[in-house]
Amino acid sequence: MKTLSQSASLTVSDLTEMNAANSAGLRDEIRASLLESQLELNLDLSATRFIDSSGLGALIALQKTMRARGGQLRLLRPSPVVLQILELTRLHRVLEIVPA
Amino acid sequence: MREATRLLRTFLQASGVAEAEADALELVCAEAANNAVRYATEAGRERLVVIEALLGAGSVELRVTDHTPGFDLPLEVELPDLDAESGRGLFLIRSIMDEVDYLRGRDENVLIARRALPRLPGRAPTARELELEAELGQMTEELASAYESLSAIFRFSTALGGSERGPAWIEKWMLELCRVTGADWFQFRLADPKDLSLRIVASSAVEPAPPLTAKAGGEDLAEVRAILTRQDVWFDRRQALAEADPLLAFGRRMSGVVHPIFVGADPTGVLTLGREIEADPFSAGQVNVIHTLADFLGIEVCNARVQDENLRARVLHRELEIASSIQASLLPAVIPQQPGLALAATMAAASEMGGDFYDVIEIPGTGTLLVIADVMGKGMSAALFAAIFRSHLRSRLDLARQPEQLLTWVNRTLFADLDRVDMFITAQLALVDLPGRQVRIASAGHCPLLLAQPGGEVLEFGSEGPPLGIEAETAYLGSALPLRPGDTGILFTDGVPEMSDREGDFYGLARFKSWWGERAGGTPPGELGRALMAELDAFRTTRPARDDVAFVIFQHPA
Repeated sequence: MKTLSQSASLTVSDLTEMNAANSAGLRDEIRASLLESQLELNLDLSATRFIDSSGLGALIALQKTMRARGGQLRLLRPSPVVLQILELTRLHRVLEIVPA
Repeated sequence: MREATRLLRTFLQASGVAEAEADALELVCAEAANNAVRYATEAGRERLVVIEALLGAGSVELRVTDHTPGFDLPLEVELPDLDAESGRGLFLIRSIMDEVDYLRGRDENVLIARRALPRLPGRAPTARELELEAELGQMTEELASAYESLSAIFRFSTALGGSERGPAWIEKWMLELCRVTGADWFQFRLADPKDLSLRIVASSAVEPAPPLTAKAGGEDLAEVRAILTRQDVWFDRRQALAEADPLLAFGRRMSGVVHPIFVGADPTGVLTLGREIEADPFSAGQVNVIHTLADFLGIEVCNARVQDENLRARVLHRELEIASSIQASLLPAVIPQQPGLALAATMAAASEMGGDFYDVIEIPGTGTLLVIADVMGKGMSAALFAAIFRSHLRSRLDLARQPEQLLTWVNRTLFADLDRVDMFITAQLALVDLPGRQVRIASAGHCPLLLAQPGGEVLEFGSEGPPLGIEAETAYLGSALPLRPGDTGILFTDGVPEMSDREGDFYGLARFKSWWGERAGGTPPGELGRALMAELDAFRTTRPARDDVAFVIFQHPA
């Protein structure tokens, strides 16, 4: 996982796996990295080759975190696998997705 | 676990499954395995979650075995609220796979998920491969029916794990068996291993037929023949039932099979399944299922019988333990000693607790009352009556100066209770009156008292009246023996003369009397008691004592 911290936004990339074993850890790590000033959280999912329901849960949790502070979560360039699962679970309706 | 799902993916891709398919199947596997890990029972955490993938020509089947308490797989899985953080796993599995089953077992469940795959690219299948595939399809069909019955076993043994193996339980099983095999009716008879009677415990018939007996000559009847020949009996249009066969109550244009159930060598029951068609009732696979279930039922019924017997034995054993502790608690903790009167008492309880009892009671100003009694019967009731006898006796010690009056009073008071349960008590009382230099005795149907005199002569004072509990208005008679220095007496129960040896011969009163004459004089009572036990032990050798042995020894030293 790589993070790029800017004044108003935090961008996280190189998320290859979001599974039952690491999702809760990723979620907490990202929350801890967030500065108070950052109202925009970008998750770059272009390298993600596996996500399961725990990973989806982490995305929802992060979205709630951002909403609570009046900010937003954006999913950048999700890989086809991720996009397919987001659509299957209809989460593309509530998560902001920035396609490639 | 991710490693396992990655392995699965590698396997699928190496087998030519397209990447998108492999992705989806990997996800299904991960979801099922996640749940298996997350919800594992404490014991289940020690066990492996097993992931299997079966790749067929046009489909794939994933199986994930978990050790969780299990759950009810809903027919339709709803998506959770869009902002819920969990609850999408099952939905994903359902959405990706064409068919999902969840077989619940005892401590183990299996999620089975199938999905059609586009035929793998490559060469056309050979004739041999097609043949194999057809064979496989047939086997799968057979297996599916067996599998269904196995999952039924799982379900039923879980649901009915603790319940009784009674007729309702058997009936449920039979209905399940009918469903699985497509039978229209059933009948289950339990066999009594002793008299070989066959009694209906579950049947589709509205009015079950009377019992049959499986004895030679009854072979005309299909159920009897099945038990006697230990073989299935089939009936259909070609092999009709005999006119007298009770199975005809189910109709005439029927077919079916009668299957005898044996556990070990013992017949346990016979089950009949029938169909309302005349030909070819059951396939080989279905017969296999019938046999498997029948064996299972037989073993369960036998286990239930054994469990019943064990339970009864445990209850009895516990009762004997309680009775034995009551018996022990009734005996005096300390035998009172006084100048001029040495005393000793012993009781050795046999394994099957009897009702022997002794007591030694000092009555100031009157003397020492020695009591020996044998309550008829064994176990709890004997112990309880011994306790009742003891408390009655001790409640009227004012009568002890005339032991016959005490016996008369106890008999009159206890008669109704003893008579109601057909019990009786033999008892002997001896009041040792040192100042009066006499022993006053009274007996209710009890063994005689032996008194050894210094010269070696043994006097025997026999029974005067019936045991307590025989006649309400018995007036017991008393007698007095002179007590001289050097006299040694013994009150005992019939366990002493009736001690038997390996051949079953009794030790006998005569032998006891002469032993007493030789040994009693000059030996202190405690030592004498030990010598008597050793004498009896030597006589019976290896044979365990059948009855309690109790005795009270008194000695007026010279």
